[in-house]
Amino acid sequence: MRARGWIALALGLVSSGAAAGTAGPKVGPSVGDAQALVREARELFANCRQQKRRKCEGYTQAAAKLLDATRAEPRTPALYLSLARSRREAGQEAGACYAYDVFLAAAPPEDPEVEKVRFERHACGTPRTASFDAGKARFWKALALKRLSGPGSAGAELSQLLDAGYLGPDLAELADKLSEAALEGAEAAFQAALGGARGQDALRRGVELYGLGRDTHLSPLPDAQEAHAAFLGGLLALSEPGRPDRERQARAEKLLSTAVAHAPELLEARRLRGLLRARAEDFGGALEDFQAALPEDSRTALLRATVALPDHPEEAATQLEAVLFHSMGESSGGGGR
Amino acid sequence: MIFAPLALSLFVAACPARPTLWLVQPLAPGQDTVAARAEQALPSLMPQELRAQAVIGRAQLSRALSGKKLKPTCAFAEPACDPAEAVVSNLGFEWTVQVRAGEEAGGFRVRVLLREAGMPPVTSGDERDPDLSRALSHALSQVVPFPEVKLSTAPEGAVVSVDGRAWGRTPAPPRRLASGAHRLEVKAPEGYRAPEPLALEVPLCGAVSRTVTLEELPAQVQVSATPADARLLVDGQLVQGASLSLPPRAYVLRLERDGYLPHEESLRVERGRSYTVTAALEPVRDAGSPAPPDAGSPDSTHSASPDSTAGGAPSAPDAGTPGGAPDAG
Repeated sequence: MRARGWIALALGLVSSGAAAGTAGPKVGPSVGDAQALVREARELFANCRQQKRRKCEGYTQAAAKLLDATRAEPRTPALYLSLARSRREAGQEAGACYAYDVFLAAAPPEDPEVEKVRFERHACGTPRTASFDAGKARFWKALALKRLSGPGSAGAELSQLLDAGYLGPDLAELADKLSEAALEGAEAAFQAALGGARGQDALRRGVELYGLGRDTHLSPLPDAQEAHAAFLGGLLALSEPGRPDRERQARAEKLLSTAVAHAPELLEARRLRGLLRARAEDFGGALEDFQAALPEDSRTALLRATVALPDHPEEAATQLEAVLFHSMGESSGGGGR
Repeated sequence: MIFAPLALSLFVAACPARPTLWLVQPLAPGQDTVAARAEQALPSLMPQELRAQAVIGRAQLSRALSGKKLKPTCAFAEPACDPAEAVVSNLGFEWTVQVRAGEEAGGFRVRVLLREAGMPPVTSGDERDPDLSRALSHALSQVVPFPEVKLSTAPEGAVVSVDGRAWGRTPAPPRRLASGAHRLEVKAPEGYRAPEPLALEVPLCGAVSRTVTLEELPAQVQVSATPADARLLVDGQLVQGASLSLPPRAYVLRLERDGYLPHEESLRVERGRSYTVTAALEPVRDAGSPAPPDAGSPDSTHSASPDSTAGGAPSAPDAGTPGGAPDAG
C-alpha cells in the first residue's frame, strides 16, 4: 500500500465535502449509539468471515458503521482500530492506514494492541498525515466570530472535515465547543420567545441552533433544552404564513407535547397546546393544560363546564356562572349561595 | 316598593319575550342573603311573557343545561371571543343579565351587566337605594333592554353627539340607546348648516332611525363696480345691492351703466365660500366727446376672486378685456 494513494483519497474527500451542508448529525450520540453500531458491525464482519469469500459487502457496511461509531465516541481509540481492520477487509487500504495511524496516535503506549497494530500497518509505509489543519483553523476562526451555521460557518467547516473523512479524538473538542456556542444562542432565542419576541426568522434561527447544538453534543441533550427546542419548533410551525391548517396545528401540538414531556413546568408550552387542543375540540386535553397553566383563567372554567356538562350539569352551571361573572369585578369569590 | 315592579313591567311589556338567563351573585363575601333575595325578587319584576322564557339562578340554569352541549371553540381561536360571549352564544340565550347585589350602610347597592349575543356587554351604574327591589329595578332599567338607534345625516359627514356624548361621524354604525328623551346635536361639515339641537325620543322596543337634513350654505359674492352706481344683473335679472348670497352653481354677472361699455363675466361659486368681483367699466368714447367725469380709471378693468378664505378661482370672464388705450385727450 502506498502512502501517496491514501493522501490522494483524503484530499479528494476534502474537495468533495466543500459543498456539503451543515445540517444533520455530526458528532456524539446524535450519530448513533457507538456500542450498538459496533455490535452491528461485528455481526456483519462475522457473517463475511463465515462465508469465507474474499469480497464481501458486509465488510464495507461494517466499516461504515464503525466510522459512525468513531463519530459517536471520538475519544475511544479502540473504535479506530476496529474501523481500520474493517476497512482493510473491505479493500479500503488508504482509509485503513489512516485509521491505523489515528489509533496509534490516540491509544496509550501500554495498550497491548499497539505492537500488533504496528505490525498490521507495515504495508502502509511511513505514517503520513493528510492535512486537515487548514479546515480546523477555519473552524476555530468561524467559531470565534460566532458564525455557527451557514456557508463558511463553524458548522459548515466541521461538516467538511467529516465529509473529508477526518478521524480523531479532537473531533470531540470541536463538536463540544460548537455545541456550547450553538446552545447558548438557541437559549437566548428561547428566552426571547418566552418574553414574546416571536418573529419567524428568530424562531427559525433558534430551532436551527438547537439542531446544531444537538448534532454536536457529546451526550444526549438535557431535558430542558430538548423542551425548549421543541417549544420553539411548535411556535415556528404556528408562525408560518397563512392561517394554520389542521395539519400544521397537529404538527405544532406534537412539538409542544414533546416540550411538555421534557419539561412539564414549561407552562407556556402547556398554554399553547391547550389552545390547539381546544381548537381541535379536544376539550378534555385542553382542560388538562389550562388547569396546569392558567388555573384562574375564565377559559379554564369554560373548559371545566364543557367537560362536566354531559354528566354533571350542576357543576357545569357553577363553572358557567364563574365565566360570566369573571370580568364583572368585585367578585365574591364565585358566590357561595 | 310598588313603583319599582311597575316601572320594569311597563318597560318590557311591549317587547317580545326572548329566552334569557338571569344570574345573581353577592357584591362582597358574606352578602349571600341579599343576593338570594334579589334573585327571588327578579321574577316579580318581570312581565309574564318575559318570565316564561327566563332562566333565573344557578339551579334553573343547571336544569336548562340538561341535554345541551358546549362547543366553546371561539374562546380559543385567533382572535378569540370573550369566554362569556362563548357561553351566551353556546347556550342559545338572546341575552344574559348578571346582577351583583349587596348591602351597604343605609341601603342596598346593585350593579347589572347585560350581555347580548354579538354585542359588547353593558353595565348599569351602581344603583343605591334603601329598598332592594327598587335598586334592582332601577339598575335593570338602565340596561335591559334598549333599542338600536341609527343616526344619519343628509349629506353624511356630520359629527353627531347624543346627550353631550360623542356618537360619531355619519354614517355611524347603529348603537344601543336607553329609551326615553335624549338631546341630539349635529355639527355640520363645511358648507352646511346643522339645525339647532333636536329632541330624540327612543321608544321601549324596536329600532330607531333618524336622519337629520343639513342645510346647504350659499356662497357670498361681493361686487365692487366702478362707477359705483352701475346696475348689476345676475343671469339677466337686475339685483339690488352689491352683496349677493347665491346657491352654488355658475352665474353670469353683468354690470352696466349709461355711457359705459357693459362688463359681463361668468362666475362659478361653491357652497359656503366668499367671492369678491371687482370691475371698472370703460366709458363709451364717441369721437371728440370727453370721458364722463366719474370714470374713475383710464381702463375698464375687472377681477373676480374668491376671498382669502375661499378656494378655487372663478371662471374667466367671457367679455370685458381691457378696453383699449387710455384716451389721449
